[in-house]
Amino acid sequence: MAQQPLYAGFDLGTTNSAVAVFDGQHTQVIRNAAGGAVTPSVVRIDRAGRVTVGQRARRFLEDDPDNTATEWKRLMGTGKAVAFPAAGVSKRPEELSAEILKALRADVADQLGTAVERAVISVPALFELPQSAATSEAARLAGFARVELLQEPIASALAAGWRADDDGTASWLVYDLGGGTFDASLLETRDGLLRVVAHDGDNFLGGRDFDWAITEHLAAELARQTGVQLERKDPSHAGALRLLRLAAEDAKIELSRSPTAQVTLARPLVVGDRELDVDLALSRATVEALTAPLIERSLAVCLRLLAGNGLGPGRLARVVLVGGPTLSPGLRAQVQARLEATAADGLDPMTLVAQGAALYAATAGLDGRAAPTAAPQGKKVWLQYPPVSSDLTPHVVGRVVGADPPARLRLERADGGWQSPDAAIGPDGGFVTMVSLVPRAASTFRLVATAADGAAIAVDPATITIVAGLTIADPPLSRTIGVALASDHVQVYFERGAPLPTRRSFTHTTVETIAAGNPDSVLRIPIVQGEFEQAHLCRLVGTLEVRGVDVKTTVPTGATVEVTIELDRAGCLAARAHVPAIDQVFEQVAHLLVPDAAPAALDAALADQRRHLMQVRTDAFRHGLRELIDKLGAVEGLLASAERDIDAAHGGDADAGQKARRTLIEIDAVLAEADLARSWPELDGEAHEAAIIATGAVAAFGSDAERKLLDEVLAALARARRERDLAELGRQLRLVRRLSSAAWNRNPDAWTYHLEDAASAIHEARDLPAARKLVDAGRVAVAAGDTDAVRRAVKQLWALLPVDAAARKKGFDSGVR
Amino acid sequence: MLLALALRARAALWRARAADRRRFVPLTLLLAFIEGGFVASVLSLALTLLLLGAPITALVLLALIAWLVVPHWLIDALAIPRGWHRAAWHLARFDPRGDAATWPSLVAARAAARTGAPSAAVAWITGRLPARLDGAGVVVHGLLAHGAGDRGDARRLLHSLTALQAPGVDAQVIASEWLALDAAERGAWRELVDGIATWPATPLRYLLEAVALRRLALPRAPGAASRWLRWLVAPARLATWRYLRAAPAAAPAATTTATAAPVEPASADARVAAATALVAAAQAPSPERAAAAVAAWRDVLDDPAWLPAQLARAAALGLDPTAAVRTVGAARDGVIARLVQLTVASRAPLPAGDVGVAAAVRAGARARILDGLEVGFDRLHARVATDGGELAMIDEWREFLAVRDGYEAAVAPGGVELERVAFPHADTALGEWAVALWNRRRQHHASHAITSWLFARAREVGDAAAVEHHGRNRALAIPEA
Amino acid sequence: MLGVAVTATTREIEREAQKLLAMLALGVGDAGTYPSAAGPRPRTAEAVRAAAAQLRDPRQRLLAELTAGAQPTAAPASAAPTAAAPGWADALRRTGWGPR
Repeated sequence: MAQQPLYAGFDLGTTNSAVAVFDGQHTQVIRNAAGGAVTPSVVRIDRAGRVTVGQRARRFLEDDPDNTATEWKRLMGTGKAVAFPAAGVSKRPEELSAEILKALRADVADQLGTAVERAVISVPALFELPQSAATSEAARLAGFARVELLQEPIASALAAGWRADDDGTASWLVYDLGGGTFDASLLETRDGLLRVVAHDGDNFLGGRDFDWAITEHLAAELARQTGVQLERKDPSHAGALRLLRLAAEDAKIELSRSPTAQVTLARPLVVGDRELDVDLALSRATVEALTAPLIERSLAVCLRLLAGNGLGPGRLARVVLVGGPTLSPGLRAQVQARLEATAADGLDPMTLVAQGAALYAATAGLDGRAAPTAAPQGKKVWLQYPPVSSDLTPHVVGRVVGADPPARLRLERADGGWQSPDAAIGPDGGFVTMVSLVPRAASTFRLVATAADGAAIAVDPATITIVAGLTIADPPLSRTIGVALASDHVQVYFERGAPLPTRRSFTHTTVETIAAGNPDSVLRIPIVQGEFEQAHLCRLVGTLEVRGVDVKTTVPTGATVEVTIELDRAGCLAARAHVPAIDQVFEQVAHLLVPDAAPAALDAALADQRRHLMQVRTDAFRHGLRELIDKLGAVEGLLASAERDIDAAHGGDADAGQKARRTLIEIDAVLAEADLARSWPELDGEAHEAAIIATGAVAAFGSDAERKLLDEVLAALARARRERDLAELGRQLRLVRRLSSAAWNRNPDAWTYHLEDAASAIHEARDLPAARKLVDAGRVAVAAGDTDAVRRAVKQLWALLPVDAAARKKGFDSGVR
Repeated sequence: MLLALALRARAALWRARAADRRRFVPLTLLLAFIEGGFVASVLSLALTLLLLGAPITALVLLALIAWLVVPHWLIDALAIPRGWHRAAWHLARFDPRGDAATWPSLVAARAAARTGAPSAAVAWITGRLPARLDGAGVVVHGLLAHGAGDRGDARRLLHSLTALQAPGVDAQVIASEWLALDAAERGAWRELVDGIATWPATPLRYLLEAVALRRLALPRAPGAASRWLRWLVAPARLATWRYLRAAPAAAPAATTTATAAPVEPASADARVAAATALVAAAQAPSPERAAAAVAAWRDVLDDPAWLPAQLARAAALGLDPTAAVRTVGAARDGVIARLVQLTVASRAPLPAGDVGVAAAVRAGARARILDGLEVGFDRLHARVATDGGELAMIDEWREFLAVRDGYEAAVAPGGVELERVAFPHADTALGEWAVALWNRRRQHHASHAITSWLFARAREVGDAAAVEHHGRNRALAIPEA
Repeated sequence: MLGVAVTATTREIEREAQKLLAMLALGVGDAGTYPSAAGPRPRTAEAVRAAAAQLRDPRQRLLAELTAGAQPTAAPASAAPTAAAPGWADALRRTGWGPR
């Protein structure tokens, strides 16, 4: 009989990582060589190029911070390399993660004697495709043959709910506060099947922020004592701040056991030419006061998530707390009180994710051992069954390989308590049968095959094991994926929560010509990820390109393009565009990285949004839009936090730069919504005014047909105003203006007016001398009463003036609709 | 001298016949007579020389005379079938059938198409076209597209001659024959008959029109004698013989498209009927099926009993009241979104009605059509305004055809009311495009075609300012090359 | 797609989906196609997963129920219009146009 299976799950955390295995019966957390259940996510590369990871590397964070890296997880998928000056090398984040995975894999091999080939790796729920793809790449670099990714909250819930007793329907909340991210996930169990109902979170709120809050407090205290203010935006203060932060971290851990702690540093801090001695007192109450706003921020996310799903506090069956910071007694109390739910006991928040990942590896049938090479003992049978099942009577489907298949086959439970009826084996060697499991336990079944004459036939495998327990059907997609359209809308391909792997096709229409042989002609099909309706707010994760140099013949605008997007469980995206008109397929996807957040660009964006906010607010006050004013208050706070992060980015903190970039996108979304809200009264006023002008102009100079037309258009305008349809109002307004100007231009004086109007804007003309000449010619014509000549001059003048509608580069320059 | 005069006179006759289809029969007879005379005299001269014992001189003379007198035979019998585009080009300069300025390129394109339009040949031929795209240029590109295997592109380009004010007789002759044969191949006899007034007559076209009239069993169909006569004067008699022999006396009406069977309510249950109509419309999109689906769903979703029943079902599935209302709303929106998609895709007329499903589908489809058009026009506008956004001229022309056809197809379901809203965008983008083509690129033919189209649409929607503006531009004479 | 009734419970749906996925993976039986209003259609593992996921979520299930149960209609007349009016096959090529 085959050995017990080995299912491995890895938790690749921001500050700490862990690995657990599941053998079909029990989960086991694998301890590292130093005996720790978790391995710090720290990598050091010394002068000789030797790589040290984990606890041994962590010790160098203080002494040799330049050559010791940590917290690179937030940089996954950004392509930003981490430099190790002593060895003169730089490593991509996925390479650093690979080092951690290698170390954890070696720990498993040391203790269990098996090098795992296939495994499940957990990723934050809100990881986007580039980040997931980078994680898969890290696994590949670490020597894994195959991995699947699982979102951390699902892993935690699986581990917490594994063999849970509640059979009915219950809602759980996973509160996962990691080193760098916060995730809240609402899950539902129904008949033993776990389903993710909704996610929310803050990709940039974590234990790290707690540490910074304490560090900043300490820095302020230090400033009070010594008069030296340490600033994050000053690169020369970075070293001192890092030391202070490590001290704060230690103090925080000490405070979870005792009410006060002393922050002392072995050596004085060197700031410029001054040496500062650090000896500060810190109390639990102070820390709780410092971190309470951050916890409150996380709870706001939770409550928003619950409210969004029609749940109030008190409706939760349980809260699962995950992550190092949740060890803090203050936090546990605050969370349980606000959510009115008890936290599950007896769970280790530090290794829960790894355990869940291991359990999921079993559900997915991802046995970590290399494929057995032993010769089959008996007739080979290919079997499909759920290794873990929430259903107590799952199906087992099999197919006997080779000639002379047995006539019948049945399964007998090893405990002798049950046996299946004989299943007939079809002409293709296939059979389908059902088995009965022992609740909340592992059941082993013997395969008993018999020939037509009743003689027993040996089959391989001879037994199978199925565990009854909580399962999840397919890992769901964490964020919606779609194609950005030229209109800046998104055509959604996969909704958040869609089961992976998945594939879907839609037909689009091109809005520009792809000129054959023209290297400048490229049709872009941007693939974006995010839940915003406007494409430019979502993240661009790849661009499918149809190049002019690749098409056989020119594809004129309006041609159809069938786009297919596929996504596997390891976060890898494949896309294909088929252009039926030329019967060609394009698969060239430019995979993008998370965009770089250069501090200068962030400064500019911040200033831009400040200006934008001012405008919106002025308008909101003018039109008395109370609701809008309230919303803008929140933007203020976001701007302040973005500014802080940009300051840190100037000080060399790339991670803070990424965080600021995300915040700015959020602000953009709020402002875009505000723009819509404020543009209504403006447009409505314009429409009202235009209608009055048009009525006058058409009455005076219009034809009968135009009067009739105006009546129709005014009716449509009124309807659009009534229904508050912004787009429609804009369209009808344009019609009213056209009618109005057509009539008005019949007025002999109209062109004189246009001439003077254009003359007043002449300084903006592309060719000033030519424009001047035209104005003079126009004035001469006015004097001569030559209306046609005036009109000609005005039209030529208009051609020299700038067009106000600059081409919008939104929607990632998509070439399809 | 005399020969030159005779050749000139013959060429004038050829062109006169192509230009005016009313004089087709008498001019054809006259031409046959003259051609016969030419050939007879050439042959007798050559024979005389041979008898006089000067075979070399006879041969040289024969070759020279063939070059001058019957180049059209050499082209048709040798250069085109062999795909010798260079030879065809040079011979065509002496071909009495066409103008020396345009005919060589057209004939060369025909020859190159025969060999699959290799890129070297395409470059050679298009390099000899004038920079300003005209009717002949469009036809040359069309023929080359056919050679490269893109029949649809070829058809669009050749048919686009109708959009040009002065496409040129040579281009029209070639396009006319090609389109006639293409229509015959597809059995689209109606297209052939409809084109009688538009396209010049050529012997082949004349034959195909007779066949088409007969296939459609129209009263003005010519009799058997006329048909055989037409066959006799048409080229490629061997190829057309089989078709003519096979022509049935009266074929079924050609334009019976597959009529979509109205969807029978398969069940008394309105919801099942509506689901069925939705699947039917998605499987085989047609305006009728889309309209039927909208009507069926109107019966379901506009029924006052629907909402309470759905809320009850949502509660049974374990949703709390708030979520239930939202979910039921989302389900309704989901159905409406699919109906909108079907309505737009099948170009069904927008449903009438101010309330309920019909109004929602109407509003959704309207917004979608207009959004699509506006995005396309904005993009075009931006490209035209950008320096360096210019395409090769034939690609600009292709884009115009695509934009025009797309616009016409998109606004048709909404009638003049929808077009009136869409037109200003077309006007802005295409108006500036036309101006840029005229002023910046000196592409007068294409520019004029765009202006003329805008003029026609402006009249359709009653946009007085645009009518006046484009009317004035349309009246500008196209400068001589 | 899954061959379950509109009123099927979550457990029935999951069980059926699990069986179909297993059958598809091993190519056992006739799981590769399913009857639909428009005739037999190919059944893929992705489609089974998506269908099961849709029915698992009460919100999506409501929409699925709304549009489920379409009855087969008369097969659409897919014959090309040219069939009604036979054309001159290959006329362009035979008369010397386009590629040989």
